[in-house]
Amino acid sequence: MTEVLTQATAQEAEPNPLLEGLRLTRMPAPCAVVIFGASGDLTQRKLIPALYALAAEGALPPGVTIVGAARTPMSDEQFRAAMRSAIEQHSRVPLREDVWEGFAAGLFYAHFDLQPDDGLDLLKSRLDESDRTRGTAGNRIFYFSVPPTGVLPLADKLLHAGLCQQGPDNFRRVVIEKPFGRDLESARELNRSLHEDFSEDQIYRIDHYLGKESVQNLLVFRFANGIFEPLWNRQYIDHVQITVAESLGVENRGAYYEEAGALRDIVQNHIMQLMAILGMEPPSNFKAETVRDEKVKLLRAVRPIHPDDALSHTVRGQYAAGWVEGDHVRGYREEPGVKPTSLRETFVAMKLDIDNWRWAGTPFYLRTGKRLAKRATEIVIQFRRVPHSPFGGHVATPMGVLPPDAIDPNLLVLRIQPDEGITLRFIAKVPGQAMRIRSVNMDFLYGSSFLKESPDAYERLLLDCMLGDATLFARADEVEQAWRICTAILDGWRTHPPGPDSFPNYEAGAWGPEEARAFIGRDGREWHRP
Amino acid sequence: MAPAVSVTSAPSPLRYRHASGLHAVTGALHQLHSELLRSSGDDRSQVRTSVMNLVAACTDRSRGDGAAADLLRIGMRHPARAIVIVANAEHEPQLEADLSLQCGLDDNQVCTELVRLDVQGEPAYHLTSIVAPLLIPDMPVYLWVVGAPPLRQPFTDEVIALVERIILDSGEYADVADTLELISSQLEKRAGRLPLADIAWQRTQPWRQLIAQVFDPWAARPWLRHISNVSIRCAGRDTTSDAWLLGGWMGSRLGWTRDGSPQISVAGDGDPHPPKGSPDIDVLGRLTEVEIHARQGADIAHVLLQRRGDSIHTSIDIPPAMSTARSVALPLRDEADLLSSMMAEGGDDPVYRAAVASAASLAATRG
Repeated sequence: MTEVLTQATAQEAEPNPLLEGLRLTRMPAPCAVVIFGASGDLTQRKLIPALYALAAEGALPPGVTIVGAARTPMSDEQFRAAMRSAIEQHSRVPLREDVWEGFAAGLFYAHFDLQPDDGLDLLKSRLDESDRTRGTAGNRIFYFSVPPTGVLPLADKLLHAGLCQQGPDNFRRVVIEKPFGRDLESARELNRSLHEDFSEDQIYRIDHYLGKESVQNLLVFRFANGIFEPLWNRQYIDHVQITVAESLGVENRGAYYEEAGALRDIVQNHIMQLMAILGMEPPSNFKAETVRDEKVKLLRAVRPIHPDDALSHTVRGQYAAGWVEGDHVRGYREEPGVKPTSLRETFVAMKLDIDNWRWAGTPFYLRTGKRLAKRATEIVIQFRRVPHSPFGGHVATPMGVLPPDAIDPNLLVLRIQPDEGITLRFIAKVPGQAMRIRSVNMDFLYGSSFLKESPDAYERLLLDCMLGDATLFARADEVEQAWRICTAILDGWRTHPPGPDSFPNYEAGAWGPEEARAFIGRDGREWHRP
Repeated sequence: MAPAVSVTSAPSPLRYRHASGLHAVTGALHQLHSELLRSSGDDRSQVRTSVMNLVAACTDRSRGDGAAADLLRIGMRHPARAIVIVANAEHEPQLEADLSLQCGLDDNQVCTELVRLDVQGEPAYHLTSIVAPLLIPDMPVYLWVVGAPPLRQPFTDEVIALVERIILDSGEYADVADTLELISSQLEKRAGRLPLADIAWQRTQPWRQLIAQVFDPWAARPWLRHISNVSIRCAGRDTTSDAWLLGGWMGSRLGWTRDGSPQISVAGDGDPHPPKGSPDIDVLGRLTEVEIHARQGADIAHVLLQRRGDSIHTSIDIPPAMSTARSVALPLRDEADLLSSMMAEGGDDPVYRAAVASAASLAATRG
């Protein structure tokens, strides 16, 4: 009789000896990936190109099956043709006929509607067939690329169809896109409802920022270099700036943005995650729960902004028409789907204090905005100035004699995107007889230092999900802690709404409203120009 | 003796000098940098930075040309001092050097120094004594053994103490069995202290990856213990080092003994392999097919991997529920990419050590 292992016995009793020493030591089990909302933009721009790139590079096991599910009636062949076109347009890895042939053989479509009377029979039969012929063994990933209002009905539908229950020999996981609620209360409610259908270890809340190589490099930079961690605290760091700047406007997402705004769209997820990774204590290992525990501890230590202080601790802005990257662009209120009198913020800057031993007294300045001067995400660590200048008043710069206390502070700039890399600014003497000094930069560029092309964030995250590695996904309590911070601000803003004439308050192509410069200037600091 | 100097007149990213004798080389390098600085009229834009020493050694001038081009490509990303030695012991003792400086064209110029040494006569047996004084101190040294020169010098204690990594291609050597045996014995003798990287082993990586993946699903893994036949084919009449290494890898990882192991057939496909048209490294290799049969009672599993152009097609038929086929692209990279990736990897590789021992044994008994 043919010997067959179960998931549990294989992992415990029989490791694969052929994997040792190979580049891809983490090999997921064959599984079926079901993408709900498969006719949508995300599927075509990101998900399918990412899965194809993984397949082309041999990172997926043979037998991986992808089932697209959406309301649009479509045959398998039509779905394959649409996905082929998506790969041709958006994939990092060029489409090759031979690779496509095998990939397409595992690509199926199942018509699906969220209407209560519409069952999942077709989908189930597709999945059963995949188990029989492609060795997927009951392993399923359900990717919810659906609007926020569709998440819970879809989860319930899967539950009632018996598709949520994982056994000892297979896994069932769901991937959920942001937004995870729109405030603390709704986030708690969403988590509670999801936990009725799935256990927490089955839920993968995806924030694509965490899949970026440069974000993962933050962890390596902090915890694999002995020289920086001793300086990583209030003793040596004056303040931290996190900037997520976009040159794009709201594009065709005006209606969504009217509901969300910059705080919900960017700060609650991307910026909070960056702050948590940057500020957390060293984890004892890189297991998912350990890393996420440390991130949650950091978020818990963030002092909430009292609603009464919301105006003094934050700046809101909205863009007017202006020039961005050589193009004249319209203002937010002229965007499709946006009310002409909208008071929704497209820019936010804030100052957060972290009440713990490491960061007490070192503020974190955060800002994000649309239609800013350029697209850039970066973290700036500004170190404290030298306590005393031995050069007295004798140091000259091209601008003249430097006051003793005005030597520029050291900066460490961690660029997340674009031009991923790290710059360390320090002071050096200009060669010559005179004591002239100036800032010089040491640059590390990701693109030119490693020959290997960085994978797209979705490639990394989809592979991690198949492997059951949730380190780079947000846990329920992380999401709630981030909402705790943001909801306090939202409450304050609700109490103190902007006057009808206060928006727009910055021109597209600027670095936000003038108040943002004054805001950080009050503390004797200034924003770093990305 | 003062070096014979010839410097290009116009400012250019490429600058040359020629030097006769070892002592002249370092001075000539320094002069090159000074000229570059003066010609720019800016004391800020040129930064002399190097992060490694790259040394390529060969016996053939045309291979030396190819190696120099590869090292310069690596140097564009990892500024380095690159030393290419063409050694030939058969002539009168002589040492000639050509030096050049290859710089980037943007504002943040960084330069790679290329030193080409033509070493003839008795000094060709003592290359370490020539190279050591030319190395930038405190920078890692990577030695690339280009082509198939005798392996006597690279495996000496003084070389091993000097270098971070020795990169060679066991597939370049005509007598594969002897070469694998020599490498295996050196690895064993030095017990993990020989930092060797074999390009032939690197070429087998996609094949190893795909075979490992086939048997990774839980349902497929028990079949590893029931493999009955393995057939490995390569292009050409002779069996390549890559093919022996792949067979050796399977044998060593799966604990096959010479007597009780499955039947392994490793062979060329019989067609004369076209001679290499260029002195470049063979990046993709000549492996063409791997076929694996396994048997459990009446059930038979069959796995076939075939090279199709620059991809590998895999068809899998493993009872009870795996019947799939797919193609995976071989990594498209040039020689410089391949060398860079091999430099980036760590030192001792116990998987390679076991595979080469097993391959040497296979090649000796079945080659």
